[in-house]
Amino acid sequence: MNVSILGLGLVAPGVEDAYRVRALPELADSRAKRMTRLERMALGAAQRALPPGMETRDLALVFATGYGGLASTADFLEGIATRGAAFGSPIAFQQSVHHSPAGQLSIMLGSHGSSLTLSAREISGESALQVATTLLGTGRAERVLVVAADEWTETLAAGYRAFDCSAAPSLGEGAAAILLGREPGPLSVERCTLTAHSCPILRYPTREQLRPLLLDGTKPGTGVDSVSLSAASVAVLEAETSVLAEVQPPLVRCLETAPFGFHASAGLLRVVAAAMHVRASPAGSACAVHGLALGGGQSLTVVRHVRA
Amino acid sequence: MHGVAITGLGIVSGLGSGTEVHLDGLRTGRRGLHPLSLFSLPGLPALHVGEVDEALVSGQHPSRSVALALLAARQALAHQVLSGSGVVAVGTTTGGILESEQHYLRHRGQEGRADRELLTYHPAGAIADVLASELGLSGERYTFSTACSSSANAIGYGAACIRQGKPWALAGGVDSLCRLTYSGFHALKLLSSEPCRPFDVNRSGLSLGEGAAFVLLEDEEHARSRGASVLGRVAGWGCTADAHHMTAPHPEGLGALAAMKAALADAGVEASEVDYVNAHGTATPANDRAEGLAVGALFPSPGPLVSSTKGSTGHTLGAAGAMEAVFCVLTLAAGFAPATAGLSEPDPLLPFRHVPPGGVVASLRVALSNSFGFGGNNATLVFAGPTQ
Repeated sequence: MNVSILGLGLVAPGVEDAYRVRALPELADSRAKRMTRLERMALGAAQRALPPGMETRDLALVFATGYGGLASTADFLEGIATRGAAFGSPIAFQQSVHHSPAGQLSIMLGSHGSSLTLSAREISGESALQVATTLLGTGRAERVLVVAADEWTETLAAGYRAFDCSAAPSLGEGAAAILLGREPGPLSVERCTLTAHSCPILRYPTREQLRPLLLDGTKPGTGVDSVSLSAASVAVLEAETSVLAEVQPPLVRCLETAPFGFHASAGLLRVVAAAMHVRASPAGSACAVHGLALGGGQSLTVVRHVRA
Repeated sequence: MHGVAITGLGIVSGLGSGTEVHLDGLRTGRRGLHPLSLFSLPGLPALHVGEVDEALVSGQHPSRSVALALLAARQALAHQVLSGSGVVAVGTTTGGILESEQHYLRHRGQEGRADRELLTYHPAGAIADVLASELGLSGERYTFSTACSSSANAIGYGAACIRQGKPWALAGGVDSLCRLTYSGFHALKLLSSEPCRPFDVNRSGLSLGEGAAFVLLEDEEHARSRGASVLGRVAGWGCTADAHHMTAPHPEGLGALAAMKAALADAGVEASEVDYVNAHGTATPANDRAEGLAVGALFPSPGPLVSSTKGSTGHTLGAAGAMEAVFCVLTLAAGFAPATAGLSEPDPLLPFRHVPPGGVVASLRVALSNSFGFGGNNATLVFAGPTQ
């Protein structure tokens, strides 16, 4: 089935922003003022992906987040720690749940179609993309807006530091949105594959585990000419580089992890970046976006420029 | 109607562990609600909750949610080895927060290295990772987090994957009781001071619960090749958004109505063919009223038998949809519709044909299960018996 990319949106740190989104998108709707930082990033990306005036009543939404409203969770817990369990903030509680941005998106966009929220650690966005293609493939939706967002919080950073995680210094935040449809378009999601490996809960898949899918998605004959690497850690980057050394001719490699920072939604930001990259490239160009998650998850997404 | 085969069931709740215990509980009207003992929160009363017997989970896993999920998933798999690459789909609202909130409350967002193990299973997606690794399941892993409809969506999506060619899917959900939700629902003024009374004119809110439930879904050929018995079928799935309010349902139940219509259309079933509705039925005034309007608008009078099983288990949030899916399969197989525990004086404004006290023994062909989460996330599943 054809899955076309009809719109792209991104809320990402600037080059000098050290992985943090310093300027949240300006949102015209006054209701947005009451939203959390996470929700505003998600809405900002979503609005950028939607063509002006598009009918959104039957639009399906698939939202993804690794950690959800963690700042609101911390606010709520801080409230019960300082004021007592009887005085938790109802607002912080409702904003703490993973699907809170999806609820806000459906309200702001007036969308009554399917609304799903996915969480899959560092491949949350890619997981949502796969679910969206299933909704399209099974005729449950004509158009699906995929949005992924994660926010930097001191609580999360402290958690990464507690485990001496190498990604802690580059922990980032941001949001991405992709509007998908079944009608033909200049960009397509040609492939969206998820798999998983038996793996300790705080480890990434090994080189041997990640090799088959990464090679299958980039081998000669696939027409893939560039690849965006997960680079979730130094060891992961070395493993990915080692596997890709088997691919001839060599692929152009993109390492968006550097500007985007490391976070659970960064995969969908990289998919958006890949789509922008191939859109600026000759027709036929394709980029494979490789994702890895702690606990064993692996994804491979291929976006292609199908016509000039 | 061509439903996806259900070949395994697993469930653990405040009623106990396993399908037999639960069916017996539903038949006898036993309630699994008792004063909260898992933790105490100074300033809040220990209200009735559906808390899982500690003996069932003690020492099973460092994360209570993972322990509950493993218990139910193992029942659903019944030691069977599944071939090929399938799907593990888990619904959860709070994942492993029972442990990570302890870390926060001790260290207030700082590193707290000495207790860092409490953070290990915080990510919602970690539950699916552990299930797959511990149970030797290969394939795609999904975690749905749409509040009270999480695991209904996990099952609906799992069935969609079977229809698209996957050989099997282990789908369900889990949530443990935790301080965040207990205090949070108190803050929203949605907790009942007594064991909940769904649809009762004197209802005053919900009782929280915890637990897990999973169903094993299989492609016909995969099930046949291993000699599996078909216990029931997922015939349809509908999923909609209210787009109305973050914590209140649409007052006319329009999103709920749309979800039910979508599920029936997916199943190829007319509303008049539905024999039993396992309602969302949380016992909050607003939820029950909105669901009543939606059910009343969809079904011609007298309508199907309706009950809520949350009076038996409490509201188990992300696990509720899967638990009630298991109840629907048991109901169809046993030819027994359970009554709503806690309902003594039906609210005259709710146009339900309530299952009378003691339940109803009848030939039931089609059951519908509603799960409506806050944020306006609505999911409905349609179930049929094994031969339909």
